[in-house]
Amino acid sequence: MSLWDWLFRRRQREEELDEEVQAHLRMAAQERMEQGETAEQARTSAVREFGNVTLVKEVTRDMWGFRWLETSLQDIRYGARMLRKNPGFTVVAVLTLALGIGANTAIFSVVNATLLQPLPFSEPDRIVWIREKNHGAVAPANFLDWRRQNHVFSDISAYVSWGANLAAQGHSWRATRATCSEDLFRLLGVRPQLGRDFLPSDENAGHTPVAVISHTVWRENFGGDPSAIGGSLAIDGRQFTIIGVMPAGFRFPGDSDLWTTPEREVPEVPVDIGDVTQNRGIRYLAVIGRLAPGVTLERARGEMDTIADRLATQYHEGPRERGVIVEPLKQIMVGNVRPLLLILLGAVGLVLLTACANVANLMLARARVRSMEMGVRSALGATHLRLVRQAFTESVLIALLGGTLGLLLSAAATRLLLRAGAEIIPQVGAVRMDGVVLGFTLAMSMLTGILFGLAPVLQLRRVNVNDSLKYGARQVTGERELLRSSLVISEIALALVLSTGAGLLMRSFIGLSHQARLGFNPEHVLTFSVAPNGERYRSTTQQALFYGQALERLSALPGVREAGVVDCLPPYSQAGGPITIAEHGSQEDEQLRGGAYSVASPGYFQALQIPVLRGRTFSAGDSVEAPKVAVINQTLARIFFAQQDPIGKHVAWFTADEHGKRVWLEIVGVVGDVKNLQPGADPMPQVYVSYEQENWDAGMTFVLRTASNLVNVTTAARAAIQSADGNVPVFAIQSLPQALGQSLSQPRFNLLLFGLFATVAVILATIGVYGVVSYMVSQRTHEIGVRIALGASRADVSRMVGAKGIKLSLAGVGIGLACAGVLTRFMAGLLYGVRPFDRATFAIVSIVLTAVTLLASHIPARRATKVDPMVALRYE
Amino acid sequence: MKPKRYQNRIELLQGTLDMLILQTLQWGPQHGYGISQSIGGRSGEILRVETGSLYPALHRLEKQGWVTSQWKQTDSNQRAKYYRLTPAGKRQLLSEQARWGQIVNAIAGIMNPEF
Repeated sequence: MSLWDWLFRRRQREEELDEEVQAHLRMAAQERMEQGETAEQARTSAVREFGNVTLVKEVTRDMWGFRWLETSLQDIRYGARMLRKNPGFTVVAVLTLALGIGANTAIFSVVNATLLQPLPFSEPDRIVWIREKNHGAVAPANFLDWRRQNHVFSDISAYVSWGANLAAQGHSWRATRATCSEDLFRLLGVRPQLGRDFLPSDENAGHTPVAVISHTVWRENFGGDPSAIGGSLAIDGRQFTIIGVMPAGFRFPGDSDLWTTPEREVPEVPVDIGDVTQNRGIRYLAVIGRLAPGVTLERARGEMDTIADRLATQYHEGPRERGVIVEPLKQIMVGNVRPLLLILLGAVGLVLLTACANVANLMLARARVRSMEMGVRSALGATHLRLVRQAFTESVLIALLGGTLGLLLSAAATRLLLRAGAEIIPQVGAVRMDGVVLGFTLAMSMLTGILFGLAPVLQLRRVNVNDSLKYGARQVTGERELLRSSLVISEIALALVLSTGAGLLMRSFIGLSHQARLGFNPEHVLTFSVAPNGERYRSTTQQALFYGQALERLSALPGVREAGVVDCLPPYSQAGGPITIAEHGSQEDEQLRGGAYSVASPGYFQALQIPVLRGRTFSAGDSVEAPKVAVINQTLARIFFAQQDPIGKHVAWFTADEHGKRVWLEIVGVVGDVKNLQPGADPMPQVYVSYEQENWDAGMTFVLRTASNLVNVTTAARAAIQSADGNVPVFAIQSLPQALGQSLSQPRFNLLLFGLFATVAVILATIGVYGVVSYMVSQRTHEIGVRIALGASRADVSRMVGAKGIKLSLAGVGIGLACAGVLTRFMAGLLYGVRPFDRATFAIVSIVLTAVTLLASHIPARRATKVDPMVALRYE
Repeated sequence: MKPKRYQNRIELLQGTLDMLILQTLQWGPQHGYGISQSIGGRSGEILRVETGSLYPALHRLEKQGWVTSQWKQTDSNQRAKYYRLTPAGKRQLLSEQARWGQIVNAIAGIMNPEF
């Protein structure tokens, strides 16, 4: 019979078989009747001669060849029915597995995308990152020498990224520009999708500069029109010709929007540093190279070391300056995250194992109850193999259900993790639920199904039919009791450690986002940035004029109460250096403390409601010609002036003027501290200077305190800037609370991760306790029945069972506390404002966890009290 | 308690029952009861086919394409499933007959050695 027949005509065939057998019996009876037997006798002896009709039919059906499929279907149907009849068990088991599998899948998707996927370049393991030892970046002259002198790289390319204002098709926007050697794309093995790649002749082309744009830029600003090739694009006011469009998704390095070639052999920066090709002191380039065919990493390292030594000797650099590091690119890009991810993977593996152990426990508790059923089936003719297969099928069903639910859970968890960890996890875009992940999940489900499915199967091996059908049968598995208990205790301990960690992080996080520490009021403040550059904004005066005009127009907008501008929003600062006070004389180097330097307008302090503690902030009188003034923050006043009055003293600006002389600023006011640098760290001394007196080439950020809806003000503000200069795009528009939120991304991510883990661990621990106590109750049902019959009260029984739960709970919490006390020390780096051994957190977590586990053991305890002694004594 | 599988009473060699069935069907289509009676009768009641072996064998032969089946009316106007030999079955029968002949000679050679 073919599969088709079996699927659709099976019933018909079975009826036919039945009819065939009946026909045989009828004919046999008929023949006997012809020989003189009565109808009755004939029938009986015909049947007797035939044999076991059912068995014959069954063996015949075996011949049809799909027996295995049939029995499997039977098993599945039966298993499903069993699961439906015990919803409590099913839900708990499936949920347990879903948690374990879901967590695994979520972490695995991230690991898969970041660690396992190759970089989207050709032969990515041959690409290396080359940098100078002790420095993050490379000096341009060094790069040129490396390029000329090496024999181990088939290509070597340098690049640097910078923000730029682009204008085309009538509007302007902000973008990230990468200036790179013309062979960068060839080195990576990626070609422009449209147009052409760079040529060597594109370098040093002062008159017709060319640019390659990203796919996104092409789509969003040129409408995806192929005629964009050859068109014109203004970059920082200068006209470039577009020669190519990169494929979608290519944004190397980082998230570059366009690529241009250098004008003088080596990528330059928009800052004047003299002849770039001779400069060995200023390091800003990133350099990558492709190993030539046949060259190993070791050989490349050796040759670069030799070259570095040669250069160092030639240019008299000290030993601290020597040395070159060559590392595979992949390692650089994911190196920071690799250990974290691997630890996570190990951790979720452990979680899954405990989940399996839990479910195994639960199944054992149930198998005990069903041993009588097994005995009956065995007596009816089921082979041992059949029973085992039945038990296995149920396990696999639970595993599949758990796996499916786990997949859904992990989809949600992955999205959560990605949103929170977007800045921390590289290649975030590539993380998704793809075939590999699904296959992984399926494999996990199967594996776990087999793992805990073994438990009742092993139990079954001890099933002796006679015993299980007899009354009073009991199976002693004392040695596994200890294993089970220790497993649950360790689950509770793990849950405690993780919960404590999560609790500490939560306290730390709340402390961070608490506004009282900020030093300013971020509510209702809108911020956005501009970066005017190009010919029109070369001098301080020109820049000051622009900002002044912009501030005027912005202040005039309805809905704007205060308008100010600053180089960089708190808590970040862009410039730092040692603080020097003129009146204190010259200091030894070690005594100089570092501070932050900022450029701001008077409206800045008012917009952020930073209190003015002494003196004044900037005024109209502090113009370009007037003596330069500064406003300092409270920390600087406290550290450098203690009891003295800082007003009237002089502090130095962090850079010298164009003649190389130090610029002294008169202190005219003291303002409150704002949070700067790391969240939670103490504020640094800070010096503010008026935007009219010192300029900031890299662009500044406006802050507007609004009275009304932020969205309305946004549109009006954008228009105001446009009217000041249409070529200056506005970017990074967000409310100040939003901007602050970004600085909290790492602590938030840590909290989320720990929180998720802790939750999963607690749930598993709870289920574990429930499982073990439940099992104990089922094992000792007979004993409980005897006790009740002999006069024990419900309370006594409850106490007896509950004692087990209490013991587990206390042991687990105790061990957990001890471990937490030791381990939280390693978290100190992640905590702000909270000590690793915070008594309150430890206490609360312990109490909560104890309560939860006690509750978990309470439920089976109550079930024990409901045991009917008659039933318990009579049946098992 | 392990259920005993019905085994061929004719334990000489596997496939002997198949051969006997095919041979019986050579004389024309027949239903299961008829085949068992025929084998018993023609062997002088020495070979008695247990129904537990017969029906599985018949269905197996049908699956292998050596017989086909059809529901027909018997003489006494009852429905019964008749089996018939197919050309492939006929070829199989011939090869089995040949093999049977070889085996018989081989056994005879051992049991009655010629000096």
